[in-house]
Amino acid sequence: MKDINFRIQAPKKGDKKVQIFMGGDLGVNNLKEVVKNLKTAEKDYENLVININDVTVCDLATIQLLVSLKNTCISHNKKISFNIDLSKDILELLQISGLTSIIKSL
Amino acid sequence: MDNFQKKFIEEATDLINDLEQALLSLEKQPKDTEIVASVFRIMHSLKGGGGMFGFDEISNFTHNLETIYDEIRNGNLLVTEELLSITFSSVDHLRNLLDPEALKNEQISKNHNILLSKVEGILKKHDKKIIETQIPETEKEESVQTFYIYFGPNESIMDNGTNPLYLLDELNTIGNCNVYTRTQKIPLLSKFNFSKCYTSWEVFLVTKEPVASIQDVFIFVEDESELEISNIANFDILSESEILDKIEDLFDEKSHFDLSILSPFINNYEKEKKNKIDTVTEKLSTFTKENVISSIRVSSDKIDELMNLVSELVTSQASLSLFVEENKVQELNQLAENIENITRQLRDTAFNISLIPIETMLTRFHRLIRDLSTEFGKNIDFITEGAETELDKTLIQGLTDPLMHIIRNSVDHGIESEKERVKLGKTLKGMIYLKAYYSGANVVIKIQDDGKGIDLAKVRQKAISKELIQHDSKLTERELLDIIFLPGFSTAENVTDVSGRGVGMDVVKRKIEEIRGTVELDSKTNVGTTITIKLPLTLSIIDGLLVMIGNTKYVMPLNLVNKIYAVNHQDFKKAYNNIIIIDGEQIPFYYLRDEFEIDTEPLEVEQMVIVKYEDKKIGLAVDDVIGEYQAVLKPLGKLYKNHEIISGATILGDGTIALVLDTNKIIHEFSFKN
Repeated sequence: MKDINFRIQAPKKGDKKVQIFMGGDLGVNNLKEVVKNLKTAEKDYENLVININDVTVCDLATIQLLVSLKNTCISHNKKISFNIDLSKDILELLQISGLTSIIKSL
Repeated sequence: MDNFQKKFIEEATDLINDLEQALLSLEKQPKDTEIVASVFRIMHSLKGGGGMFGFDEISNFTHNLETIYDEIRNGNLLVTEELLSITFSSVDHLRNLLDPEALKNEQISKNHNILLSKVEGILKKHDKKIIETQIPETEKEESVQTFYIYFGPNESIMDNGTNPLYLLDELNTIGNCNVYTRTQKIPLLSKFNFSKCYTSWEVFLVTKEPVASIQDVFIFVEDESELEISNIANFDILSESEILDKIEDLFDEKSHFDLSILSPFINNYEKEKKNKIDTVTEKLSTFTKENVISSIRVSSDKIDELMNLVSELVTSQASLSLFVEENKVQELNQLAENIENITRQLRDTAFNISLIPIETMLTRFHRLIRDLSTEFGKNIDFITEGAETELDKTLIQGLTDPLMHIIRNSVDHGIESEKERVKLGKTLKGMIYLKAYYSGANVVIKIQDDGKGIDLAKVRQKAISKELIQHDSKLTERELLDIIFLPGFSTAENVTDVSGRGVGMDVVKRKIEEIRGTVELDSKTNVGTTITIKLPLTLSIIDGLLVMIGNTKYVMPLNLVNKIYAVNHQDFKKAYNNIIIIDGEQIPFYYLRDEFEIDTEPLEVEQMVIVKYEDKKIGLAVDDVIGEYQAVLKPLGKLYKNHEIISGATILGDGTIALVLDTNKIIHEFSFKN
């Protein structure tokens, strides 16, 4: 993995929420490990909070992964929520490719 | 000068006035495209008309200005203060150019060349910019089209490094896009492969580019995707809210847009829109045709002549009615009544024709305030209300100079500088407010400013120094304000070009009184000054009440008459302090026999005419009331010049003369006398 931040913060006692932090280069070339870790987290926890910050690269693969994760949680009756903070440039690219509505629906 | 040229001068004068008005509006709303279009149209008309009727200087002069406003109209140039200032100067110059000999005048000719070079300067500056950013002509001519694009990449499209988002980004560079994304093929995590593409797009692209440009965007992914490009409209559907709503309705997450529904909808919409535009155009053209037919231009001389003839007819009709009455010719009775009715209607119609809205003189006031504000570095808003109020054209002519002087005074002495206004806690922008409205048979014009007001102490001081009042005179606020209307009075510390030119408020008052008007002044220190001018609607014919005092007949304006009572002569004589009780109401009155110093024997029963004066009822005792009478007002000669209570004379049916009384002046004068 290059220039990518990925961290899972296990829930504290009495708290069911697992915090997952993602940032840096989240482009297709860096997603292999991320997908693997997310699959595990989804299996292990009932309530996932995805925090996405300081993103330098975000492409179609990233968005598809987030959609897939959300759909998986829903199909397994698990809770998931997203805190996404993207830069203006990335938002612009997502906007012109019609992906902003997808982000908003997460 | 031939008739066509005269006609052009008339029309060009109107156009230049309209242009001035449009520029004043443009100054307030420099981005208003309709005003810009209107300025352009006027210049275009001036240029075309000038060329056609031999006014080549006007045509040439307007040419470059028209080009500038065309560029503004097309969004290539901005309205700037510099440009407006040059255009305003050009408006003044265009008025000069209506005289074909104008350029023989050295000053005008010099100004002509200066303005031409300024206008050319603006154009040159702009041309330079155009060359720098010129767009190829072929691109400009292509029309807008809307394309529907379906882009469904294969799952493996990203394997060789293609990023589909960049393709959409590129698509955005050739037009305006509305992008709809479909993500329903994205699998759950267990089957998710991060390097696969599961997304597809549908795009509505509005562009002037040919379809080949769109195909070029996808040229390297043609074999790795499903691509469909269809032209669905030859106009911009993205600016049509109804179509956008329809697209939203048709959007279904699971399947593509159904073009078999959308395309017919767009086609119908286009047809309906075209029909609507045709209908509006048709209505507009009918309206314009009707307008052309319903209004004609008539010279003011002809209207004056018409009014004179109507006045003569009214007098002759009165003679006829009197003849019929005195000779008791039954056969003529009905005919005389009919003629009287028709004359009355004709009088009203002719009278209406000679009325013009005061709006016609307001443009020059707007301009005056604009120019003076710039000169004095003051910031002033000129607000008008009731511009549609109509007045006899003679009154408008007589009113323009006094109003101009009042407004000059407000700008020069009334409104404070920005610094002073800030100190006083006022808004930076001063205000001059002109309001016109009908009040009975009068028109009232109020000019109000929010300036420093009139310093009464200074007025008093000045009045004493000019020996207009005694040092120890005790005057009320109203009396002090009235001093301002005395000849030669001026409180201005510095004589300026604008208001301190020796023409004082006394001239304003005299001019207004010449047109049978009154002027009143109110002022509060640091709040502002209000000048109220009250004018009759017309100067030529009034409905009057014919009365007799002694052996002389008089006419009182009927609109001011409230009631008439028969009163015994003895009751007048017994009345204490000129107050009589009628219908349980105390009415102050003037016994006109005494006031006019008439010695003949009074009648046993006399008449009391109750007239309206300001908000009060005042009685005017006369010998007898003869009846209603349409009085054609004729001016009095020099001998009567100082008799303010008589506003004119009228010729009666029997050829004798009746004097027309100004009841307001009578009451005002006698109340002071007593």
